[in-house]
Amino acid sequence: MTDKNPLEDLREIRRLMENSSKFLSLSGLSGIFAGLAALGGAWLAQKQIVHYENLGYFYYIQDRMDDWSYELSIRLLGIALLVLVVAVSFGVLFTWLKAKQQGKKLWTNLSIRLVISLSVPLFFGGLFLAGLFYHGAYMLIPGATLLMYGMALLNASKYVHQDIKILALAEMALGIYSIFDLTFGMYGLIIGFGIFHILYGTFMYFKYDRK
Amino acid sequence: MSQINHLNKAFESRVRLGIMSILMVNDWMDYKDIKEELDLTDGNLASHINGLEKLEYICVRKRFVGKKTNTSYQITPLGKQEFKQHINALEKLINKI
Repeated sequence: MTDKNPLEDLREIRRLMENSSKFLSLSGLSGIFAGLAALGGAWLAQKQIVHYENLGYFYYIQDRMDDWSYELSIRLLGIALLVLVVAVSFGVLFTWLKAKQQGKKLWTNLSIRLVISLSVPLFFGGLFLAGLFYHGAYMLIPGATLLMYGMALLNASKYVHQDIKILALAEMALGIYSIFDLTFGMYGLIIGFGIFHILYGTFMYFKYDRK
Repeated sequence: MSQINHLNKAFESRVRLGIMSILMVNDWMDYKDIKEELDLTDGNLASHINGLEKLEYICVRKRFVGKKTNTSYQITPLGKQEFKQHINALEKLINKI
């Protein structure tokens, strides 16, 4: 067998190495919907910000500016958590559908390792963000969020298609930029979680999903 | 012709090639995962695994996970070396054509 078709053998070796060590059922649609959820969240957040800017004067004459920034930030935090839940749900849904279509299981040793390698940095990153929130350093949160997210993606990249490293690098770079240019924060989040996810998801969808 | 000599007879079968490929990139892989990945029957896989084990290209670990037995395999340094040599020989063969 081997002597007859070495090329075929090498192809098979390559395919098995890739398939057995990477979780390839992650759907590009997950990325697109995560991006859309982020844009929806940004729209809600913008409405809240405008609302609170209009109320600012009343808080000011009552000398309650601390309450003002605290209440607004709690609402923005709520929106961020909502976006997270929606995005993760869509992510799992589309991945489940793709795995089913490929005749593969969703929960394998591999996908569990993938989830762990994503969630450990996200968990500690989240605590770090909670620390920034606790100290009222709201303006640092967008940049730090993007940076933590990029690092978590980079950590998980060995279990999925290599292309995700590009997304990870882009998120980290955007995070660093947002830390230096503090007026950029909200746009950073919209670009990083909205635009980047949609671009990446679309790219992945056409590269791997549609065959 | 010298490259042909580096081709390892032990890897002539596709199944063995498959087992080695998977174990090259996965540390301690469960028997049932290998079976699933290669889409094989028990009898077929077991005989090839035994063959590779006898050559000491892979080693076995049997243990209990909860109440169930769990059998998993790992590639040995010797197996890794032999497999790399085999791939190199295959590549040289292709470049010659």
